[in-house]
Amino acid sequence: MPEGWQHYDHGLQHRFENGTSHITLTDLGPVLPESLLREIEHARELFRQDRGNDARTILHGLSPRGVFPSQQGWEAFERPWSKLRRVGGTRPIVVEEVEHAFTEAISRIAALPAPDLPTIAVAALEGMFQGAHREIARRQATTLDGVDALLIDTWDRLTHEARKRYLFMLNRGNLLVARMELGKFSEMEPAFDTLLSTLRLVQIQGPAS
Amino acid sequence: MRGRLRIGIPSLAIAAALGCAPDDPARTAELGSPEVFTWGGQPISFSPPPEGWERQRSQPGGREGIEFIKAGSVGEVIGVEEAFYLDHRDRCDRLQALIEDLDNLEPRDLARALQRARPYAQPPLNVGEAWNARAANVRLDRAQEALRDRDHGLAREEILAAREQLSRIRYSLDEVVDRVMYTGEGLPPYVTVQVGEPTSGELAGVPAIAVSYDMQYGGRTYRGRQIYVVNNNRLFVMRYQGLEKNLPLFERVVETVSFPPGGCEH
Repeated sequence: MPEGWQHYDHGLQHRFENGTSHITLTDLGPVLPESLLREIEHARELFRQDRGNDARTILHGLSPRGVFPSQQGWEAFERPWSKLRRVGGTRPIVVEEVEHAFTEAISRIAALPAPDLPTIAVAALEGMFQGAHREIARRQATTLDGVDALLIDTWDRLTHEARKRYLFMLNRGNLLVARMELGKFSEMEPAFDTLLSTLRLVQIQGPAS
Repeated sequence: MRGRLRIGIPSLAIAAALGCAPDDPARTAELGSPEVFTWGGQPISFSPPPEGWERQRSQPGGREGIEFIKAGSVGEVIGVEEAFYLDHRDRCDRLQALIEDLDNLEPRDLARALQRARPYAQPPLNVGEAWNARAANVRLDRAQEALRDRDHGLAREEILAAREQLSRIRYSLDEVVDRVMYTGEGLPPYVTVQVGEPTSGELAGVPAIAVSYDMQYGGRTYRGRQIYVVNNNRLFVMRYQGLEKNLPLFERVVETVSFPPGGCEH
């Protein structure tokens, strides 16, 4: 940990703060077909154990739209998906229909190609920009702890100021992003690099949830 | 009738003859590395002023870009902006996106995207725009019919033809500059300004028009200059307002302007 920095563990997000300089490391959840399958199959197991509420929590935490490259594919998936999202709710469900929906959803996701890291990262960035007038200033492929990663700098579209750095990488199909939240780029850059150099991916057993 | 404009850097010899010190920072300070700014469909590149000129967003009415304000000065500013009303008229990017998404969009979204990609030319800026926009809309009508028949191949051909038609629209600087040209109107009563006649010339290989003015307020005289240039159907404004001594710095920044290729060429 660089001198003067404090670490706060918020579960899926770790915050590193030094005065008004803030860096976060966040698990944005499953973004690949393989990791979505893992979570949906886990939810199915819970459903079969009569733990509908737990299954619901998992299913409602997923955002599968990004793995479907076409609108038609997404629309076909939405039919079983909307049934699955009712699991654990107050409306009555037919067990056989839910089982069928699980099977269909799993088969549709299993047939998808895996998007590459740049595609995933840019889509995630667009979600973070949320109308802010920012653009990508620089992107560079790199590795972290032996894993492929993508470093992206963004800046204000008009002035090329307010530069911020992001680092994207995949861990068991989940997207991890380290980002400068607050602070001056030139002052945070060394700390950002130091923090990331200490990052080690730990392979945990079982579903990531 | 506009006079001729010479946009260039006065040599040190001329500067000396005019009584300026050869080490005058406005003439000698090293400019920043060239940067490419993409505010609309056409990028612009230039070297920013040296350290001590602080950058900030610039969004005066109808334009957006960047301005550099001299720190600790009497309010001296160098600005570079794009007048985005021309950018908004261009449908090339939307048509290109539509072509790429043609097979991914559902019929309702396709119809909406097609509608949003239609050029509007009322009132047209010139005869060429009126004619080409009308012809492109005919092509887009055919594309819509093809989409209704689920013939994406034909729809793609028609959209490509519409884009090609629209790429023939070209605006001249004279046709579009009046909307942004500095007139000195709208200033508070305690400011007096004398605006010179517009002069024509060339910047980065394309026609340019410049307006110079003198402004008095707060017991000081400010020199002002605005330069207008159209490249690839996009209108850019370069402007300076400040003391006479820093005008050469503005001229040096202007001298570095160039236009890298944009996404759609006209």
